[in-house]
Amino acid sequence: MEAYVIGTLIVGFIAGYLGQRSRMCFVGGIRDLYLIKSTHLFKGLIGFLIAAFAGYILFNNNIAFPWFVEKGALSAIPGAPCILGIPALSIAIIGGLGIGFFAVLSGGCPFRNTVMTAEGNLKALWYVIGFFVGAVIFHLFIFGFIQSLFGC
Amino acid sequence: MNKDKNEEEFSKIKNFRINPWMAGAIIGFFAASLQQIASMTKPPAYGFCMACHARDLINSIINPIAGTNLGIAGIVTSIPTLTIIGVLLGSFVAAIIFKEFKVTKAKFNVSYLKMFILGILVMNFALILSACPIRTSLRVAHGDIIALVGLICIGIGAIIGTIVLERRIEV
Repeated sequence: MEAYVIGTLIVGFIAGYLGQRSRMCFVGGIRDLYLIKSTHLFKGLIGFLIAAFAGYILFNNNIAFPWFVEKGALSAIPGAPCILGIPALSIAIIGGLGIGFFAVLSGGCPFRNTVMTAEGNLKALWYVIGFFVGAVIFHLFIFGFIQSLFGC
Repeated sequence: MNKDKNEEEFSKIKNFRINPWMAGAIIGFFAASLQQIASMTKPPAYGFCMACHARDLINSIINPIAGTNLGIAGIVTSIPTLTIIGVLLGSFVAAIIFKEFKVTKAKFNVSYLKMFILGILVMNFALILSACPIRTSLRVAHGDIIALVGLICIGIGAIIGTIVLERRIEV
């Protein structure tokens, strides 16, 4: 447990440092690919996918790989069961479209906005505050609604 | 969103030291290997997530104070995950080292409210998908088909958002 908590702090530190130096942003990469046909930021997403895949192959000692939805991927709280089917797919589609749309309106994905907060951007600071408030709102009101609607 | 301005900014971005693909690769590798190194295997593909780890952090702070039982991922019952703190610290250190820290204010106070509401909305949709864009990619790398659908939908949503932004500025 402690190793994991310290590990997230260290990985977060490395990611924040690299993110500040490289302006990496996944949603921004898709936006630039569409808007100005530049693959500069989009390569971040490709590199991430390849390296994460390599990491899972390399350290694949004790986890089931590949991992599909029947093991409880897609619930609002990770770990609760949700079976692969229409509910899981519709949750993925609603969530994905919503993240993409509102992330573009806010100028980048959550990671980019957090990095911009640390650079002194007050707009991004309010975004991060809204981020924490949104988590509480989700679990107070929306989680139960989604659960009763889709059953997971 | 002016195209010339974008290209100008883009040529500036190109001169930075670390390429996005390299940064993405390093983050992806660490995020993938962290769980195995720390032997935290449940939930899978949980090494790096802005939305879920922020949720775990805020809920594990609020739960003891308010006596509520807001949801936390199975692995983090007593100690919160600190990814978002790490990202803030890391990018702050980088901004200080390379002298890029500058407090920038918005022109109108309404922009703060807009960003606040957008933050709430993005967090809610991210928790519906149970992943931010980064964890979605991590899940795709882990072999999750549903996450692939989610990633494609993030792309479609981003393109729709770009079109809406373009139209609004043309008008």
